[in-house]
Amino acid sequence: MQDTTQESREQALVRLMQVYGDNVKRMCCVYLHDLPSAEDAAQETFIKAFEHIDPLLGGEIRNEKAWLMRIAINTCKDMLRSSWLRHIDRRKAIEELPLSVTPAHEEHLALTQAVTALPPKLKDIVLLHYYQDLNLRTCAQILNISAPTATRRLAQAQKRLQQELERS
Amino acid sequence: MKNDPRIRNALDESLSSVHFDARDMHRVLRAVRGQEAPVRERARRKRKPLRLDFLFAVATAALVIVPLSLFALRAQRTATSKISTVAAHGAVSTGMPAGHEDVLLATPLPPSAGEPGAGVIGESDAIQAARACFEAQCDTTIFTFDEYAVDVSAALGEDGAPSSYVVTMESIYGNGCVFRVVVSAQDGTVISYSTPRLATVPAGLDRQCAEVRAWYERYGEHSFTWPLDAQAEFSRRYEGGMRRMPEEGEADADAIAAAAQAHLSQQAENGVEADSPYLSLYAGRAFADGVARYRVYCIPQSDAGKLPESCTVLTLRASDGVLESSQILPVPVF
Repeated sequence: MQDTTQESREQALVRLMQVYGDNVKRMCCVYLHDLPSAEDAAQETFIKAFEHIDPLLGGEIRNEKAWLMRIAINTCKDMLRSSWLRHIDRRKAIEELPLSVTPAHEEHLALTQAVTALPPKLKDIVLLHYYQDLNLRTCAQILNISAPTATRRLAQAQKRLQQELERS
Repeated sequence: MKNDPRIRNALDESLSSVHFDARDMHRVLRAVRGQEAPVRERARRKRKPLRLDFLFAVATAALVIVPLSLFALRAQRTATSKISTVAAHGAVSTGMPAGHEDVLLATPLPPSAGEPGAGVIGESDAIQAARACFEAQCDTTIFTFDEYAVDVSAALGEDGAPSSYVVTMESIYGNGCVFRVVVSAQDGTVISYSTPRLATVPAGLDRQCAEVRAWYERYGEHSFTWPLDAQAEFSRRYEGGMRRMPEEGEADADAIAAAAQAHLSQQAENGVEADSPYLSLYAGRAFADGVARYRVYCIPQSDAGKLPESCTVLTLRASDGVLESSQILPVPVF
């Protein structure tokens, strides 16, 4: 493993935050339905990434985006789990999320709402595949599931979204 | 729906106001440098659910302690000193200091001037007073209060109670910008504050700073070649906002590039080689006359791909795009 200094680690971290920061935070926002929690989750994602940044700097991690998204998804799951254990439901309706300053198209708002309302297992795959633009094999690796399962979940998610959009 | 961008577009549009901003970045960096408790611990502390014992305590205070205190106060006709912020009583002068010395506004009252313990304000009131002072004295078009990490320390009087608070605001961008306000603990008056200019204009650009280096690595070694929005944001954080984006009513970058190109073509007819222009828009604060201007750097393309030593620099007024000067100057090193 390459011997890296604190400075080069920090530099790599800053680059990751600049490149993927918005993406990670928005994904956390959809996942957790709550901006303060999403802020915490996004920050914690990068803190965890920093704790394991040496393999990235050493070239052992080929797909840094997939690696970071795995951390983000796991962080969100941990936060949901801890919220559930404390019997606190902080989930908010999409109308309460910090939306764009400029009004979004109704169709886009409905689609965002439908994605947010998906169960976590289906939301995972939709966010990774459609929002983070990762291929199905990578999504399956991130979620620790087989490729056929990933395909099946995506098909289920598509069906649910279709139904939800038709209803709205 | 394979490769269908609708979901990405929908989420991006709906959540376009959500950004991993400088404050997030700063918190992460502080956490990894061990300067701050990890986010998750703060988050847990912050969102601790209401407990019954806490509710009981609040209810007791509301039903018993507060009415009793009010009764006692009225009975004894005790006049408590009203805590007023700087903005309210206008203690801060509007004049800007010339030097770098702290500006002294009031002589702090000795702790014994009032009744013991009476009129002593808390840290949050001191921060509010410092914020009002910052907003009255500093250029808030460069940084807002939220772009500073705030630290408060109390100077204790002889009786052990705080006599004044020192509120230190440090820029979250690691650019060295600091604003320090000393607030009286007796009545919230601002006693002194540091040079306002140093709150928004960094003393110098530290190229070794991790955040700064990340910018150069991302956009290139010469900041004048960066996109205008990147130049503006970088300049706001590290150069005191000397460069900015065009405002409404000003010539935009396309118009300036066209004007520069027309000038270069004219020169090419006279035997001067046309070059590829790079634009920077300098805010009025960068010039003595306060007029915003574009600088267009026309760099000759060299074979080796390296920048030459000199280039043609055109200066055009931002308001109407009129060419003011054309000079041969050394290629900027920033």
